[in-house]
Amino acid sequence: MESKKKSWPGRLAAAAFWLMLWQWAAMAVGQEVFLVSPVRAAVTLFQLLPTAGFWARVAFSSGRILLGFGLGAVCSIALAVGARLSRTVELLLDPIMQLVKATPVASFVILALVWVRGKELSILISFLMAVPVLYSAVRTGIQSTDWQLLEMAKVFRLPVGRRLRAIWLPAVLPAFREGCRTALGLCWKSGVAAEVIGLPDGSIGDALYRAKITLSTGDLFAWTFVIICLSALFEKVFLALLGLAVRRVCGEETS
Amino acid sequence: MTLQVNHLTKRFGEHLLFENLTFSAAKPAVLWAPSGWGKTTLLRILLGLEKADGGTVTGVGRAAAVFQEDRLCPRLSAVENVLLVLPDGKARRREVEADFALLGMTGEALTLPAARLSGGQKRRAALLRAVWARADTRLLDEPFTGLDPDAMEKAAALLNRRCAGAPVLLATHDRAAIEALGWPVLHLDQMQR
Repeated sequence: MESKKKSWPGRLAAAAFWLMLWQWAAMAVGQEVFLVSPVRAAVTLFQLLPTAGFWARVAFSSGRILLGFGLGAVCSIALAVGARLSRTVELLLDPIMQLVKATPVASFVILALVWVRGKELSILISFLMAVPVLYSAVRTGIQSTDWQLLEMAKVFRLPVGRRLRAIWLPAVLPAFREGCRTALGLCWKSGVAAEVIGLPDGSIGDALYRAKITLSTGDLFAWTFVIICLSALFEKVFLALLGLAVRRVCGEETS
Repeated sequence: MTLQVNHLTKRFGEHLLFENLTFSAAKPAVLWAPSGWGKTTLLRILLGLEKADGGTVTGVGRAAAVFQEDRLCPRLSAVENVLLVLPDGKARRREVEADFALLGMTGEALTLPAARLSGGQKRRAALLRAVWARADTRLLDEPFTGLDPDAMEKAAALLNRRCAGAPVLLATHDRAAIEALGWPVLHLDQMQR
């Protein structure tokens, strides 16, 4: 905790350095259409904040991206459990997960546009980004489960609920939490990219696209900053809630 | 209930661990054999965790065990580890805590996660878990490891009080423990026919 507190001045100084460099570069370029200054980007952001349209776009995109992430989380847990229980399921899923992981987001987006409407595109893309990451995380957690404790549970005939709470969840949840951290970031990046291609009305991706065609670089930077903040905010909130659940269900951290 | 072992044989590849082992136990007994004879493997067979190469085991029923390792859930406290194996766990908390007190564990030691307990404290928790569990047979593998002589005598007294009259097989090399328990000793190396 002490070292974290100490690092704050350092972090602020680093951020101030890059902002000043950005400001200097913008002034050197001298044309906002190529590189907007941080001051201009901040002014644009503060102009956007009080508008209803801004919050509607935030709600539209956040809702869909988080829905895709949530569905991906549920699905990947079910698939990882299935793979643990059946070697056949594991063998069938492995190539699919590799394929989904390696396929470029753009290919998925263009293909998915054939299947779903632009409005639902970011749900599907977030889902596809979350599944392989979380599937792999849950599987890692399952594989790290202490076999000696599983033997103990077998001998003492522990009911499934107690095995889950005392043995499986403490092993799986830390890996799942790390997976969620990665997957949430990926969902935001790819979800917004999907919106930029699918152009659903009232989305953040649509706002980014409009900023590009109207050469409003200030808007582009302001929306990008909003996406980064939303991604970080949801990550923090989600991980905090998950941490709370872990402590409630599994007891105190041991290290 | 009588635990019956008939002509049990176990080998690991070419290495014969024991052959034609036959004995029965209806009451508590100490299992004694030279080091490396295969006591832990025998207990694992009795617990159904390992297969024998020949022979039969009957009458184990529902088992409770102290394993060679403590095998406690690291995030749960010592008391919670015991309550975990009891169907009516929460209702028994006070009684379980009283038993921990008998073995010299009170206060903070009862609330810390098991991962942060000392070796002796973990062993006490593993022992009490086996004592409290609902079981027909108790199989205890060196349950006094890490206990000082005083704690060991208290643990032996507790076992005598709680487990008399039911099959308990306790594997140990500790002469002092065997004396403190006062149980008949089964010399496994002499029971192969």
